[in-house]
Amino acid sequence: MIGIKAIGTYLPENSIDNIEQAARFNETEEFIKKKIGASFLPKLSDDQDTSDLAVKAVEDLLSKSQLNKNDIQAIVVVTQNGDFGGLPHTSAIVQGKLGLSNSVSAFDISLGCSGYVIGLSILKSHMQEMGFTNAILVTADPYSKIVDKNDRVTSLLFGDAATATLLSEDAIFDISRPMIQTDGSEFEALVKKDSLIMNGRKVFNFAATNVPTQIKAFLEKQEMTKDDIDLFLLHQGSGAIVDVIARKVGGDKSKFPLDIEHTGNTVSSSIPLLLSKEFESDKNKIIISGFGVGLSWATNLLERR
Amino acid sequence: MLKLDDIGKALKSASIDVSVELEEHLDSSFEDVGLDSLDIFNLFLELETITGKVVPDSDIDSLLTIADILKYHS
Repeated sequence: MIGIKAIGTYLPENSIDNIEQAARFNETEEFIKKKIGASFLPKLSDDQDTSDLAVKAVEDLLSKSQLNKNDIQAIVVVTQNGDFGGLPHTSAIVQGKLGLSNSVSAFDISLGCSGYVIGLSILKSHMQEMGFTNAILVTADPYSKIVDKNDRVTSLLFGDAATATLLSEDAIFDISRPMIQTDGSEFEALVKKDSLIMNGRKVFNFAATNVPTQIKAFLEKQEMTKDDIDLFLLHQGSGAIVDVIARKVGGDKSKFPLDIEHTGNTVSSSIPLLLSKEFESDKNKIIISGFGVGLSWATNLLERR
Repeated sequence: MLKLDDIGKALKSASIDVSVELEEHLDSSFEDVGLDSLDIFNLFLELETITGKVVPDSDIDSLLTIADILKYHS
């Protein structure tokens, strides 16, 4: 059965000091550290674009997994901020830059913070349909391209990153069937106009209300309880959002890690960045839950083989 | 009708520590009470659970003190 075998990651070397940046908006260091959680926000450099972040993450994956790039049968990129505004699809540019075979299936998925959870399901299904054994799911959504640096609401939150997840039959984690929900009537809570516009309260309330409900419904459907789960890897929207969801789901708070001090909110990359640190851990049952743009939210279970 | 105790309960549910006595700061700004913007999101979220009433965005900007919240829910 197809599952997750390895994850490569990339954080740009260029980074914004978020404490210094916060001072411009009269926000305190305590607010940044306790409520946002991110002291540094990685940012792509002037000569980098989305595809470059993706290539770096895939290169890290290739070195970690010993996978021969000629064995890659599909490359899928989750992004809403591709090179050239998304035309052509960034996955094609990545295929070209990496020199992958012309037989590779390459397409993008336009999703934000729920993109990793849904992307795993899409690529797993595509592999089963096509009879593929090795495929890569990339997340690369550098919001620094669309954030207005004078906007207090968004500029203190988002960091750039990319990840590359190898899906293979010879895997470490099995992927269950996700629960996916959408509420397009509230799309304006997070939308790109001239720049990214976010209604912070709406996004907060959406996440605090819908995500715990979905996680509980998902566990019930799996005939499990929160105590059966070793780890809840939530999209790292902010310290405050992870905190409120953990509170609403209940149980041991240490099962809901927040790890964004050096990354910020990296959109669809936040969950795989966390998961990449769990390959050698003793955590066997892991819930992943992504939520954001759309509004869209999705939860799934990963089980160590 | 919302009482001051309910606001205290909402703050507790949201794990927000307020170092001042609320009854002595009914007309103080949220900032002076020690609440930051995310505390206020959390406070209104918990109040919605208590009252069953969602405060729309169009109203929330006019609620600047504890007294404003009590009056809004009276």
